[in-house]
Amino acid sequence: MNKKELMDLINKKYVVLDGATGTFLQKEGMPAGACPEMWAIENPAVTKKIHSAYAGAGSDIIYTCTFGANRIKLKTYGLENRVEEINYKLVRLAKETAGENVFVAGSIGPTGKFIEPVGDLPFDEAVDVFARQIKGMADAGADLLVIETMMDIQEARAALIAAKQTCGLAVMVSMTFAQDNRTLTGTDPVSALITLQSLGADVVGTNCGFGPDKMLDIIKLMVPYAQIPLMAKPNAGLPVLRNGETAYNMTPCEFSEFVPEFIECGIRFMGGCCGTSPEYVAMIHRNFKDKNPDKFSVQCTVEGISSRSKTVFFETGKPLAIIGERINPTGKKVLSEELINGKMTELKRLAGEQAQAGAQILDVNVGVPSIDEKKTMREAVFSLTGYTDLPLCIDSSNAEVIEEALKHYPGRALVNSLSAESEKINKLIPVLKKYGAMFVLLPVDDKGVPETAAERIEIIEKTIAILELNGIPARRAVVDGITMTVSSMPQAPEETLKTIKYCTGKKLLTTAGLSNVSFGLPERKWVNNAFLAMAVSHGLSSAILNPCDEQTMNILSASCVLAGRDKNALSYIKRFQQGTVEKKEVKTVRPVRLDCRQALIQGDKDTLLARLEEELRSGREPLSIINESLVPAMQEVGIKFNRKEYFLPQLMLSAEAMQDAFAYLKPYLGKGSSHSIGRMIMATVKGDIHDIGKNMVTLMLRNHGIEVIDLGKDVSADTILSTAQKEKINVIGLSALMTTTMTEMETVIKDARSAGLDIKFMVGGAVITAEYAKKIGADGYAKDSVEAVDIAKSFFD
Amino acid sequence: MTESTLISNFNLSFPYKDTLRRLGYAGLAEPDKKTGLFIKSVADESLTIIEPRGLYRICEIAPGRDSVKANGFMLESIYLRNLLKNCNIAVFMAVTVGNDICAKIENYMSAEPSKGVVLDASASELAESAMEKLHNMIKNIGLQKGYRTTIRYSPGYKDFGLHNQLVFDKILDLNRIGVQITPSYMLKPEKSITAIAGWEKNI
Repeated sequence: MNKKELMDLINKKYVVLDGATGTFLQKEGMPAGACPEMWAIENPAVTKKIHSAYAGAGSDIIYTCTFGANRIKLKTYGLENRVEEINYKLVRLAKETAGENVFVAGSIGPTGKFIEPVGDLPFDEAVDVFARQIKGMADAGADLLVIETMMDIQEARAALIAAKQTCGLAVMVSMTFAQDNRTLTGTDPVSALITLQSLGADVVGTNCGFGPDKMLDIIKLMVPYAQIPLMAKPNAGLPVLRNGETAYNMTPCEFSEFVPEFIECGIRFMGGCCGTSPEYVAMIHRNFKDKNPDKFSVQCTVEGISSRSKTVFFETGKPLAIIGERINPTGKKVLSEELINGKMTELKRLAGEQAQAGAQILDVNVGVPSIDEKKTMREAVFSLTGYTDLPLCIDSSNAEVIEEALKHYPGRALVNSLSAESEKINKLIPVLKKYGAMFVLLPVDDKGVPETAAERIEIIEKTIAILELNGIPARRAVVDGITMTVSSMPQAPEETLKTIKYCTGKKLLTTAGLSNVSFGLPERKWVNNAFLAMAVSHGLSSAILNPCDEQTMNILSASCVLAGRDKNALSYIKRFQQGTVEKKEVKTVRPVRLDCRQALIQGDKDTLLARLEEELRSGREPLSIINESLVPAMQEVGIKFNRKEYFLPQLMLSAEAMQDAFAYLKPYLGKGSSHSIGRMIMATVKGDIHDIGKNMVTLMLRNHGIEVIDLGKDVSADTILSTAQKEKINVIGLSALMTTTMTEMETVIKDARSAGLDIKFMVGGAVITAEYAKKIGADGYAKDSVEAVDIAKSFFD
Repeated sequence: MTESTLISNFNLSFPYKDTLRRLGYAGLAEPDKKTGLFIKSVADESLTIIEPRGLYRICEIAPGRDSVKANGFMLESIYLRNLLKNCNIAVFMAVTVGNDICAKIENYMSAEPSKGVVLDASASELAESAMEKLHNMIKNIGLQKGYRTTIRYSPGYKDFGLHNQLVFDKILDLNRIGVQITPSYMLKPEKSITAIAGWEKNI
């Protein structure tokens, strides 16, 4: 059964699927721990009984017992070399039972592994695993395929790609959602639908996870965006425990009460999943049999792109889709260097920055000269899909790079770009078709960039004709109007706007870059933004821009209101109401001049250093600055911290400023002129690798004039005590974070006492209490760094 | 032997409130605007540095009198035994946010300690978020199989000694996510967490 034959079927009738298989097998005696597929082969009478029970109950399509018959699952039973044989035999069993009017769908379930980068199963290997299974099914004469109970969109994609490249059978894909309406790996129903229908699924829907009531909610979310028929296979209600066994709480009658609502929603296929039986299927059949469906037609023509967990639609008459342009190494040294070295930190930073500034799609270009662009693009896609939920626009001139990105991208991407240059178009069309991607159509051909709108329109029409011949609908194209420089070609903006207007009239989506228009002019942003506003009024449906430019984003927002693209100015109002854009203060407030004490309290390093310079220039002694301004200021910070007026970040900002102030003043302190009040050792005890608390205490002690020998972390009692003896130090601070390591503090103290050393110990750390400190013989316990300073000072008094 | 399942690409959002709490902002306390912006800039940076990865493995268990047997290993803890008393399956889990962020914290602590302190709190909370996400995933997998998942329990809580980290290592092969156990049973990189939760047929 190919796509057309499937459509013929649904134009004739609502299609009844089958019900649960696993529970049926168990009832028929399949022992726990057995391989269900092998057991089904070894017990053909039982397998046939299941199939004929569902066929008899009215199923138009029955599923084969091949759910786990893939190489990875079969390996658990040592059957990984019999994949094709097992699938072949099970499809034959179903075919022998089905009869003339019942179709056999080869069932394909998950492998139980996650695909890269979420898991460690390479995508190509996953495709191969499913292809082997599908080959067995197709050879045995399966009528169609059903990829079901998929909890990871990437695994569903791999199975669907395998199906498409192995045989010409129609494919149904059914995802399983959890209580939060997302799959296990975070995909929502709309993103799943957009991804799978663009990838060539003939039917999309959901099975398992819910009873019919909650499953209706999932279907209702999908309906507005479905361009293909939808299916549902709910459980028989909710699971309950009966006599120690899992059962479901809905009777066939209760279950069937929901069927009319599924039909009303627009569902074309329905069956049952866990807990259902032929009785449930018979009830669906009873509801379906007298209903005549309308001829299926595509109601939704809105196109969108998706990430694993989010979809962005290109809708005319709505605010523009904003494509952030900043992930591009051109002119970005840090990004270029990181990409060359295989690092993705800056790439993620640029993604985060643009997402926060309002980008809805991220353009990703990793084209650094001499880089392995294919590998780098794959790594960029892996990094970005784990970092942001924004859909991606894959930007490369190399078809192989684009294919690598699309393969690994767990959604439907936008490709930037397809031109009409013969070599490029021939290479890219098969890729776009295979992955169902949307694409930026650049009206450029072998003759170069056309100057007039008329020439551009001719190329657009010619390219669309080629695309449609290849089965790619024009609605997947986002036409780039091509922005050229006004200073060298005064009519250039007009030609771009005409191209955009033409496309809008033809219901083609459009996009445009901005910055080219102003090249060579001063204060370019004004020209860019005015051009953007004009393009919006001509119907521009998306823009490739820098979303971090607040002015551009404000103009864009306002333009959408004026062009009637922002109903009731809701987006505009939201933008300014939410405080996403900071309102510039009109009134000029005279800044308060901070002295060095105030600057330190506020943790304002730059001001503090400037004031110190002024103080020194005015002849003030450095020691007096330290003792009369800085140390009292730090004491005030400590008081604020104790009063909970200040918190850790502020305490550390001031401490850091103090550290910088000491470093600045040090060269000016005369010999013998010291603000030191004593020397001590700080250490995190043996076995403990956590030293952040100890480091904070050390910094604060130094800020208060205590010289600290910091021995670091995981330090043995021997090292601590021998250093103390060598350096003639008699104050030691010990830190430990864990209950297992705090006992080492006691060892240090005991060793010191038994060696007769006159040392005062101060202890602290997350799990330490005053009682514990007392118990192990410590002289002081500090709950935080401020308290540690007071205790240490008291030791030196 | 079935190996542990590897999970990465957690797509974590920043746990701002929890990080503030870790920095001492209890209850309704909020940072002032300047400090808030400072914390946010470090938080944004932390998201670009982390490489969250996790492992899980579903194992049959046998709760005893004061311990739990799993895959031939004994987990000694009465509290854990009580938590898992109705379970014959448990899920071992581990997450890490990677080495790079720990190195960055160390760098900051010597150069810009204020950033180091905030990054440290951020990394701890991001590791907790990753574990929370993995635990939720396990809950959903359990539901599909008809199980309810218990709360999770980690070595170091109550009587569940840190030495049990060794069992987690044997069962999960922590090296797969670059996590090692020190002689004093601490996890390295520091911002790593292990936990166990049970599956009970009690729907």
